[in-house]
Amino acid sequence: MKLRKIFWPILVALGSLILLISLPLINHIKDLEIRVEKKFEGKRWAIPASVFARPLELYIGKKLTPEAFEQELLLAGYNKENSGKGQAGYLRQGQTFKVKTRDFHFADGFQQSVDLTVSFGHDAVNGLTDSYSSKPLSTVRIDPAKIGSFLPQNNQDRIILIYSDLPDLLVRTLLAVEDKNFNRHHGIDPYGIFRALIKNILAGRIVEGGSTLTQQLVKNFFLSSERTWKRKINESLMAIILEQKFSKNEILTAYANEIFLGQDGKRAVHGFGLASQFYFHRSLDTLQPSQIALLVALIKGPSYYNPKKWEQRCLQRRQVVLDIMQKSELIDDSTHEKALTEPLLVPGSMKAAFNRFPAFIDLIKRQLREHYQEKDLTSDGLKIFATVDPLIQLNSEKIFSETVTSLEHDQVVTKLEGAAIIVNRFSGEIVALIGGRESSRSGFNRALDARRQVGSLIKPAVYLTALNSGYTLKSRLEDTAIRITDGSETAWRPKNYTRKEHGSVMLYQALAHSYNLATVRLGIDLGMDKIVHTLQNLGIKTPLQPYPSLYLGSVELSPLEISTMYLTLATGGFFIPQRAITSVLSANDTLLQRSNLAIEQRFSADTVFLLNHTLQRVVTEGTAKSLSKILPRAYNIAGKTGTSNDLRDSWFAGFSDQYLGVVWIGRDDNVSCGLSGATGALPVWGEIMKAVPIEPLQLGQPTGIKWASITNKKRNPGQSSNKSTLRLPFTQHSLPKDTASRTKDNTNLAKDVEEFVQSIFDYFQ
Amino acid sequence: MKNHHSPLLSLSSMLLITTILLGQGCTLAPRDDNQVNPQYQIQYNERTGELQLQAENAAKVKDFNRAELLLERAIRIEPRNGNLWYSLAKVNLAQDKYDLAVQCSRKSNSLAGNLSALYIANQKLIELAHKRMK
Repeated sequence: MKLRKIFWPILVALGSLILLISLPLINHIKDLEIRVEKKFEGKRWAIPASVFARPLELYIGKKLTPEAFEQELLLAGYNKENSGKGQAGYLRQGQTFKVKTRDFHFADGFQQSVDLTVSFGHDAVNGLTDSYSSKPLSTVRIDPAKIGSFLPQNNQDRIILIYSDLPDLLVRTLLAVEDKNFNRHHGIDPYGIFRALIKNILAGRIVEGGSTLTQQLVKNFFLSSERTWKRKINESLMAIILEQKFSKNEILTAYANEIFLGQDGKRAVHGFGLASQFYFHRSLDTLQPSQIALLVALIKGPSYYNPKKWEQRCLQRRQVVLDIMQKSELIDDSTHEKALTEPLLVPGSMKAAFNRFPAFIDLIKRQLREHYQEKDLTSDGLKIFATVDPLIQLNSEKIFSETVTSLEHDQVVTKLEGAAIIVNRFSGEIVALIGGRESSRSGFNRALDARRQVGSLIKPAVYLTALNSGYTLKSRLEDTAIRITDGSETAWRPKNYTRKEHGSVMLYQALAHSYNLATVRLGIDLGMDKIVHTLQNLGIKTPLQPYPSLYLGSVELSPLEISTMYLTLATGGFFIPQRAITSVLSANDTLLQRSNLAIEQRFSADTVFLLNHTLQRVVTEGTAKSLSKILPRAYNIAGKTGTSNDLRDSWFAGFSDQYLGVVWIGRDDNVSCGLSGATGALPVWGEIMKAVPIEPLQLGQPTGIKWASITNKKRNPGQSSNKSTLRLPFTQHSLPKDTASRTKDNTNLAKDVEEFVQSIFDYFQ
Repeated sequence: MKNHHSPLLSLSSMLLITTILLGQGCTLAPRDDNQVNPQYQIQYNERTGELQLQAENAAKVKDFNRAELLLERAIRIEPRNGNLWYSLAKVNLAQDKYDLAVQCSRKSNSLAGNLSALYIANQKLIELAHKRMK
């Protein structure tokens, strides 16, 4: 009776106590449950946008050396194999390659993997066939190199896998090494904890962990690495919750995508998919047992077992994993023996293939921001197809840096910086962009943001205006002193670079030799409005101050704007917006956006031809004459040098048959660099273009152009007159009547022969 | 096949070649049935002909994005091929992008030369585009 009297109160008190303690615990577990569900359901990872270079097109006659082709394949992550049978594998036998391309989703559709045989001769593709049927192929497109990704805020990057992407050997090895009872436990493994405890006590140190894969996943996903009881308890509870809510396959897949396996500069390498690319430049499904063993070995400590820094440690750890694989009968004895002897990494792997071109990536991001928000760029797995030519970009960066260093040394100047842009002159696609001497670092992007005085680079706009206003290449200009006032006492007295006057000169000479006095007189005669209008039509958007000094380039523009202007000339008068991106696909390969090839004729082909012919004379006889020391005259380059006041800025803009290049050299602090356009930017331009596969420029003479022989009666102040005959192009209606001899087309044989012989001579110099 | 006008050919040679081309044609594909200029047969070559045909097929089923992408790809390979620019002009015309169609035709003409059938085809396309713009 007494017992019954106290039983219920005690029970109630006990119950209340239990409730008091467990209520917060229940709430805590509920919180953990919500966190787990939120993270796991829906978007588990922010998938960054990937950036791809332009794909390499192969066709008979394509100018390409076998060495360059091999470099292209390596940049695209292809592997040199004995069989050339796996996707993204190739086999080279002298001048012939057997290649198996990857399946790839391009913007114009899915392209299945192709087995092809490519052969080379005379630095060009001379054979292109299907490897199995030997059927000739007209064009083949190699899947592009991935050059970068826009990372989410935590700088993680990964290649997302689904369960069926995980190789069976990888899964079995992972479980054998990290969690033998994975398929039996429910999140935590008490037996595993006990076993690990005994082993560690016997060894006197930590030799085995008791955490399950599920616990490791929880720790990576949700928790910090602090070693406290609270964290351990939370980890265990969350692991149990995870196992309640999701299947073993889902948990394993999440683990395979989440596990941290290395560091690539700022970028953390998470997941087996990305690690496979990072360490071995191949996809996960093509890994050998020794490579799988290495990846699993790294789980215990990617930095501690870094195969590049700590080779011996890594070898030992890999051996432990290989031994477990053998004991668990995942591999046989011979495979085990063979794997032990294989090197950890393929030579040349672990070079960061991603984000090698930060200046170019910067341009891409800016162009994308016009259409996308930052969040979309870093979390939706967009695929961005860029216009960069990875080989031209890489070579240009190297040559740019070397040549600028050499300039500093030769010219005894310091702190030189610069920028360069190379553009396809037919499509407006930017194939290379250099933002500074240190190309591997992001930072101030001079190609886009350095606004510098352009000097004589502006002059083609003045002369184009003149040619559109009835002037011809033989029109006479006075290269004599001029004084310009604005009504006040201040007067502007421009000078030529050489401080000399040249008297009466022909228009083409004034541009070819960059005479300032003749240009200013011409500009005044034409009127500022017309010249500003020409500049705007050439694509210059920067507001222009309508002062006479504008005729000599007293305006600050970026290298990108200059390339816009010169591209309109290089296309024969068609304005093309420069592109760094051709298309954007969603994560599931739907075309979201493309920038189409848009052109607009803004100048007559005839007058632009006349101007471009004169720009060729800049190179053959004018201020860029010294280019022949680097590139033979046979390339018929058209271009213009530019030098600002006090030699603060050195420029050259020029084009060959396929590419337009713009180079700027100067100092960031705007102090004189001591270099003119001809002594600074020009040699840098020449060296870069020498390494690009350029061809002699063919201007494409419009049918409205006729040639005529002109007698040049030159009389300089204080000199006797002398006569010379030269041939110049004219528009049909401006063909001079007072020529020595008139011909309707370019058939002066003696001149042709002379120029031909000279070009051969130059080529072999 | 080169589409670049050589200054070295005399006028009579150009006329002769143009006559032969118009008379015999040199296509590797069925006769072009474009409505812009039914007299003009687009020329295809081994290098970019396949891409051109794929583009035409895409345009026929109104997959204009794909048609343009294929033609741009072909133009990267052969930027001086006036036929490719003409094909691009037609694709733009089919999408009522009249300004662009005119510009692509002008570009094609800058490569075609004054007396060629392609030039005439481009002129007709430009006329049609201007008409439709009104």
